[in-house]
Amino acid sequence: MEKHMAVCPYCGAGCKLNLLVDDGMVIGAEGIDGVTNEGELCLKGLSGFDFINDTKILTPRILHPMIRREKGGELERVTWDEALDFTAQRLTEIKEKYGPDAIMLTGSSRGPGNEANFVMQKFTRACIGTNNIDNCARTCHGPSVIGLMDTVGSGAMSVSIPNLENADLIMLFGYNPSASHPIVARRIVKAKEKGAKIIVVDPRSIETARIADLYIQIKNGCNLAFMNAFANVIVSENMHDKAFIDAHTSGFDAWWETIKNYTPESVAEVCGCDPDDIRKAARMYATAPNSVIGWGMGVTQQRQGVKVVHTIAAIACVANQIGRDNAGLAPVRGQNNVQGSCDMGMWPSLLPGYQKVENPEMRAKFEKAWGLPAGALPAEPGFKLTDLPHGVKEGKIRAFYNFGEDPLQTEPDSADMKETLENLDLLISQDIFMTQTTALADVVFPGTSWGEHDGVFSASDRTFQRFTAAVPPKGECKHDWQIFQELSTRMGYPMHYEDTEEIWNEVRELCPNFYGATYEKMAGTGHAQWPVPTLECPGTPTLYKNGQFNTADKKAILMAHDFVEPTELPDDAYPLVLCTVREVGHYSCRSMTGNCKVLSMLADEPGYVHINPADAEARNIRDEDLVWVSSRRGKVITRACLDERINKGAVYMTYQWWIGKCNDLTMHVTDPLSGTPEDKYSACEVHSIDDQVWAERHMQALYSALKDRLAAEAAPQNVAPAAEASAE
Amino acid sequence: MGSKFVIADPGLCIGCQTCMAGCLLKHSAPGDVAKPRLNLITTLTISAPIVCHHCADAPCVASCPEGALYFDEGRVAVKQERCIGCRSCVLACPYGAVDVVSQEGAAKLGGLTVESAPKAFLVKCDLCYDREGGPACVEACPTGGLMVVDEEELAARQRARRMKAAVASGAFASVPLNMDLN
Repeated sequence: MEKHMAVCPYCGAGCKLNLLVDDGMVIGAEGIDGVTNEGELCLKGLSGFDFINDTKILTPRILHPMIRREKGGELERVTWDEALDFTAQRLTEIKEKYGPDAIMLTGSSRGPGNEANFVMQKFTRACIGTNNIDNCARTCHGPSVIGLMDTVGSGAMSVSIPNLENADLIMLFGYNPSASHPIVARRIVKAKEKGAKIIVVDPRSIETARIADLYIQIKNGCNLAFMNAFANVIVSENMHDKAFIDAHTSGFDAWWETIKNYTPESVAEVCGCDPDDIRKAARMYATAPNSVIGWGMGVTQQRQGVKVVHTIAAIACVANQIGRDNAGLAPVRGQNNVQGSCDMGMWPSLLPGYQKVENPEMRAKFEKAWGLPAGALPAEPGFKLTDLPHGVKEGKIRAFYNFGEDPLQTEPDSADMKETLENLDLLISQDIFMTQTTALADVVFPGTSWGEHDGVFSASDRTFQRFTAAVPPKGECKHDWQIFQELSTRMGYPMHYEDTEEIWNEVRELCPNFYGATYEKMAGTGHAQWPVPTLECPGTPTLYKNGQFNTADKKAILMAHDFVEPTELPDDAYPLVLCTVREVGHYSCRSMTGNCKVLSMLADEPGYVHINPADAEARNIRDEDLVWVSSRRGKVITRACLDERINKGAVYMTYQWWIGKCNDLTMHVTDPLSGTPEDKYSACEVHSIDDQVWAERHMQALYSALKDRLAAEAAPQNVAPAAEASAE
Repeated sequence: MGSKFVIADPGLCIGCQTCMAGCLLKHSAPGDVAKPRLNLITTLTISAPIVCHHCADAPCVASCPEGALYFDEGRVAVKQERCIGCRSCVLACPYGAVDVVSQEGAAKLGGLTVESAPKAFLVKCDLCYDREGGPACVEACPTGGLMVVDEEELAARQRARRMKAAVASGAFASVPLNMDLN
């Protein structure tokens, strides 16, 4: 049996593991002593490996390139040469006819790694000539990236995951680490064991609420009101650090002009909590020696996501709970390499290394390095991923290159997204599985899977770590960066990388903060936490030490905003709040975990809608019943879980179920500052189903039909191309 | 007796089900029944997987008319071939830790394999008696929230509590004690 070192491909915790390989099959995983996981793994790390082996539990792997010669025609397996020529020609035609900005691309924050993403954005900017490149951070922690860059300068955690356990106080705000990052939740348990105080502020009584010193149950959608009042208490009770504010921040007076209006009493009704609890929490936070605020999608997938991040950053600054090893900001990233996608410039306004496309000096640097004439790189920020639906409707976006994402599953309002994808002139999908999105593609490129390639991932706390291939590529799968470079070469901008290290060294040369993160430094369980500007630098676990922020004048910018209610409030027709969340056993669109035996045995379709027992009783719904959930966008069947941890008046669904699909219900309304959908708040109703036997059969029939359809879409790959077969 | 069992600390449990995945990985081998032997239960204040206690006077053993459950060196073990699927053990177990499932199995007729017929399987914790390193769930738990409690552990806990009680008894000594000795 062989062992191959890797980094878990699921959440952003960055857990190091060995893949166990026997006879060319991945047969197991074992934790190794990585900096964030210390040998531990959660259930996904431990048992989420067998999708690599093409188990076909949910949907088959894609092993050969396929194209659809006519829109709406059948997929046909072709040679790589034909697939690449076809795609290069179609993209070139669209570029010539409508301009480079008619082409939109999305990077992959999942298994491919930083190098593949870097090459994709280079292809986007240098070859196609557009900044229309984005990644799934748009739908998750985009507001954290933007809100933190606006205020403290860097769109990332300021503290490291290991140091969480040394904080004196951890406040979780709209963040459920037990479900989204068990190995981070482990650090919170350890902090508690070491004597830290824990505050949980959440509409749901989440796992961590059980060990909290203070749990405040708030109403859904009240974040900015709550945080404004929290900030108000810190200043009203004189717990702010005036010397720190004077020396290291700007804008305090204007900030206070807004914040002063938000007394705890003034927000009590909106937040649904006792004003004294807000005071208590603020006192605990401000007076503890070292406090950390952790937040997740509960903050970012809201109408005012960026504004709440601004306020959280301001709170940490005025209370001087930032810039120390055990005090700071902890937006913990969802997908394993979503930090990396942002690091690599899979962002319409940022070149790799957070260098702004609008800055002519930066563009000149990249133009020189990439052998482009001066002025060749586009200066205007491109479209965001969430611009895709209206961009297509308005005819501005004609082609979409989807790299390892499944927007038809993960983006809000699936019916609208389906129409969007169908109305494209050209949809390219480069993936490892036949997903619902790939099933609509005109071009299907088979990339190698995690476990079949090398690279570097960025963990949520800015830690670069290497991962290696365990098994050779299957079928005709090519490394993602090879596909991009071959396409780019065909389109007139040649690229010829030999391996991922050559790509990574180019990244290092172009991004001063990443320069010291060499492959050598990251060998084995080695790691490098950015900024790591020199070869000697071991990495930087903590940002903003001594109040030195990454802004132009090194001062944090304090920003305050007024609270606005969520967009779609419950009413008589749709009286419940629908909030979409994560569950621990599955990941993202589920194409990976749904093809893992153990994980699919632990949780399978149609998933659950979690509902307070009182709300269920009022609707004559019993635990485990199949039910309908409906909204203004659609109606889905799922199973009810009567759960006393759920607040009355709200229900919770997870977004990875393909039948119990909550994104058939959510709406495409976004935070205007980030383009992030308001997935945490829309209105719905839950209906009982009288005939449960029928409902079970119906659900199973839907599930079988979907699996059969995807298998049928992938089937042409088993027929060798005619050109090849007839060749001598 | 030498009875042993796996127990969860609800303070350390984060409800992540890694124990269940570890159990499933262990028991998804051919010939075994791929069902987790422990089940995560959550209430407002508690999260913990519930699993067989290998009771010294096990009601499940007493309830089985066919002797499919028996004591084997301190654990409650199963003779799968004796299980008739009557579910008396499921009714008897106060922990809800025993399950009987139907598995499709090939029926034999005079040495000839005919169509598959359902076969009852008794599913419960076997303490991974055949696994090097002990129970897979204990090893898998990322917070160290699961432990094997054996006679030694019970005795150590008893000693610690008796010690604590003895120290506390100083408070009601009828003759003042020399606290300088501490």
